[in-house]
Amino acid sequence: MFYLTHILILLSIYIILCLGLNLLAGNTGLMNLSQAAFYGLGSYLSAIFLTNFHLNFFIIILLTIIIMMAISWPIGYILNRIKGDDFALATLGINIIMYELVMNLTSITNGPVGIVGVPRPTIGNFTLNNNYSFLFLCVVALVIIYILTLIISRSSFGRVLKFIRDDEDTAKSFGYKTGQYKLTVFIFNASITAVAGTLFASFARMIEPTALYTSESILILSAVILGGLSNHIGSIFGAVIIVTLPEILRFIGLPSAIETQARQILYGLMLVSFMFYRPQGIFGRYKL
Amino acid sequence: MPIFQITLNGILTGCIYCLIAVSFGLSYKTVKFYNLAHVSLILIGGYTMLLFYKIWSLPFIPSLIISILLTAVIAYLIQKYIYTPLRNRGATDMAMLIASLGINAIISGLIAIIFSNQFQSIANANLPTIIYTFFNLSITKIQLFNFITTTFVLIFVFSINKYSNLGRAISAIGDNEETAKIFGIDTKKIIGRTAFLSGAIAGLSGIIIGFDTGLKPTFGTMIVYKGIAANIIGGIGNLPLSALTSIILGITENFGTYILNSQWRDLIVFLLMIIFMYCRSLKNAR
Repeated sequence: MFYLTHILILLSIYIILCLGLNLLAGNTGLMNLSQAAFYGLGSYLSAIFLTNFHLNFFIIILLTIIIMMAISWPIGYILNRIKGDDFALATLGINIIMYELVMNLTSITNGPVGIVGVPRPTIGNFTLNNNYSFLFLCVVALVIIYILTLIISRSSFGRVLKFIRDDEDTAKSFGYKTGQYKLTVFIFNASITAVAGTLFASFARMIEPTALYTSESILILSAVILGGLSNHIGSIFGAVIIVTLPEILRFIGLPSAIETQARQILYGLMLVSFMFYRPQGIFGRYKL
Repeated sequence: MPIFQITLNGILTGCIYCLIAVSFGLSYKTVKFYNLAHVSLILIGGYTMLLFYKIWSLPFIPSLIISILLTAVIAYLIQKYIYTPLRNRGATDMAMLIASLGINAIISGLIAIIFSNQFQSIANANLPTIIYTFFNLSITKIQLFNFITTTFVLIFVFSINKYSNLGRAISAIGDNEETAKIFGIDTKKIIGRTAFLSGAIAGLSGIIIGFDTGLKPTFGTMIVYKGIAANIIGGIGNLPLSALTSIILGITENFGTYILNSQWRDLIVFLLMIIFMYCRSLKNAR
């Protein structure tokens, strides 16, 4: 049961990440390959706040969100002009830059060691040492973000995002300031990753630079694509795939030495075969 | 005087990027998407050389030729059985990019299972590194090999690109594939041949990396991304310019590490790449 709660907490964090990325990649058509970098950066920020300041947990989440917004603003502003495939490559570059920053600013981040001993969140007088209570917190965050993303994608704002995805130049000629829309959704995604990062840092009680690997970003994007772009159920399904697949492989009895590689090969096979037979993903509406 | 040594080291680092940038650029010119499976082609080249030369201890020249040919054949097969059918199904550039990421994951995963995840070098660690010194500049044997092969490959590729029918056909496809087809160019054949050529160059660069710094299934990624970054800075598909920028990038990187610290070298390269992408978009918007 402990094991199951562990998986469910990880699952809800990944679903949050996938929902955020779906807004960007699915609804707006911006293939972001730096989701893990933002997520890791959020984790680092909140880990620093949680270990150094004894503030209310919600204030720390809010603080992390605000700082992540401030960081993502200039990045989004620069990326706004870069289109299509170049955007994917540029975000990959951003991911590498952030990884290097986290690795090398040792005075703040402890370098390769990472930050350990992050305390569990305390709400009022109640510390969430128990995994069940933590799961409850994660589910609450997940539900809030699910509803928020659903509202955004169904609002007039979301419709403009889809317009930008389908044809940005036409959207421009209709008078929409596409740059502002893209920047807004980029910053919104960054704040969602901040929430996921805060949850992860306080759940795992530590954070390492490995969280910012480019392969992790590729994994999250492939989850969104496999599940189906521009569909919330699809994002959830994609997250379920990437979280449960390693557990299933372990359950089958694959030796642990080749487990990561086997997982990697399976993802690769899925990506290639999906591009062949179902480029819109399982539940997707938007063909890549 | 360290300046000359640093410049030399920069040029030598740039040579590896140069090979990767040229092979990536060749591939981009015909298929017109970011073929990130190049990472795995480089790994294939390096690891087959490791297998033939170090583990089976075949002589140097045959194992070099076999591993380059093998990489080229695999590149050709990937093109023929994955990319071309995908294009025929009407896949967009983004879908192709995702598929190439998938191929990369498969191949590097397989390599990690076969050759383990450890860091391995093709060069025999027991033998002392041979260093030549002239005018106070030192260069190792493998670096010299790197420099000479890069020069030859560049001359070869540029002369093909400029003077042969294949090069003209590649330029025609790069301009407009449909029109090239109408004018009687067998585009499928040309694209296959280009994949073969770019695979061979990628394999060669993998071998040099294996001798120079060593191989790791996850390691090739960074060097290849840098080669791709050099290509983007130089202008995608513009081979001479991207070769030049790779050299400049290598020199900048080495001076950057000399002035700042060795840990910032990757950061410098990708910062440059994003700045260039941004500047180019400003130019296009005007």
